[in-house]
Amino acid sequence: MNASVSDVTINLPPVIPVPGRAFTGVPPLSGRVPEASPGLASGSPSRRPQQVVAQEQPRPRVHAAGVVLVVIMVLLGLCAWGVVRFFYLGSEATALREVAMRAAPGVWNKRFALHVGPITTAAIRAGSRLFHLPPEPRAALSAFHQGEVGVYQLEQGTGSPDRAAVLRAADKTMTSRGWVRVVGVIQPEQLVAIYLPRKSLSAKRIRSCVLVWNERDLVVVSAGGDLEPLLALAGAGNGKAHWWPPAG
Amino acid sequence: MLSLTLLASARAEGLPPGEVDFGKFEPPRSGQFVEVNLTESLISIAAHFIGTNEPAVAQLLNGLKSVRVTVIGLDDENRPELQKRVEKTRKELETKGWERVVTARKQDQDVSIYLKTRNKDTVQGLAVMAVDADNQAVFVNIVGDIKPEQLALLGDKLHIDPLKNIGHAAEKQEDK
Repeated sequence: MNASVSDVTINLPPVIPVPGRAFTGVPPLSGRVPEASPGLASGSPSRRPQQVVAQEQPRPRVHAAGVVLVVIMVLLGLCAWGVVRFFYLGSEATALREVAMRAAPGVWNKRFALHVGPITTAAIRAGSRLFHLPPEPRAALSAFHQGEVGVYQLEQGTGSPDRAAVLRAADKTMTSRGWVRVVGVIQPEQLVAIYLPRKSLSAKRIRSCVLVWNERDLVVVSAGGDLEPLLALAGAGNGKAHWWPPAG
Repeated sequence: MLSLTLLASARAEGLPPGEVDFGKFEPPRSGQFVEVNLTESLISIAAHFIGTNEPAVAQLLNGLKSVRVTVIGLDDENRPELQKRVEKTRKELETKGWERVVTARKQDQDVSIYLKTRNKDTVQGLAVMAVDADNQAVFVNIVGDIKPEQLALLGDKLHIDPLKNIGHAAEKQEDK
């Protein structure tokens, strides 16, 4: 019973590493424990827990504070990005706008630009469930998933651009991005072009880009959504609803 | 130039039945230009929309594969080229088995409608070319499986009056 530490024989399950020896995965047989470190062997039992506390306690504090800080910064950044994003157009609408503006170099004034993304529309849809809405506006809300619109005006003093050249340039740009023009209209002082994706066009997932140039006003619109709620509504009308074609 | 001609010719040869290669239209410097190019998927969505309200129209739309309409304002620059193009397209269609069903010439107006049929009971393609020398040229190509009795409806919906008359004549033949 008075045996020194070095004489103690222990039997541990193979998965528990013996202190002071690297765990090799080899099951230790009964035998002598190799010479322990002086601190442990000389017996100051309270020293080891103190060391553990001193080494491990500050680390979680630093990590938690850092994580909280990073999360707050990311959330703030996302909020700021989200707010800024409301006032900037997406890539397709921007490409259309740039094509038009290149065709008529001059001073363009931004009158209005608004981008409503899928998160915002999802929030609106979720919020609308709290209220009683007639089926038509509810279907419209369900159908609209994202959209953006930009309105710009060319200052007086700039010559009238060649709208045919604008249409050609817009076609080239949008075709390279995988879009195809389904409607193009040129009248004196007016241009309208509507583009749809060349592939993956379905009622469930439809997107469109529109360019309207009327005298000195330029409007670019991009919208995407799911037409199935509207189709379902039209079907449910059973001849009563006249969504399309418009009456008259 | 020769390679471009060969390329255009090869492209025209590879077209699905009922489709006409009018060539690419350039918007005029002055005057109007309207181009509508509807693909099968878009027509299918439209057919879904009107399905219950007008089943006959929905059935007609479901049979269509593409609709292409081009209206070009004529000016001194593009008039000769477009008139030549109309003549060239007419000759091509007649050599490729298209049937000329309407010819209307009055003063400066020239309208012709061609049908490409399969087994006499299905229209695979419809081509309309109309030139009003003082005003505009119109090119229409509709591709799909269209029953002769649906032609009147098609003419009615697309506001092609001569096609309405053909359709009514076809309906009368069906009744007999």
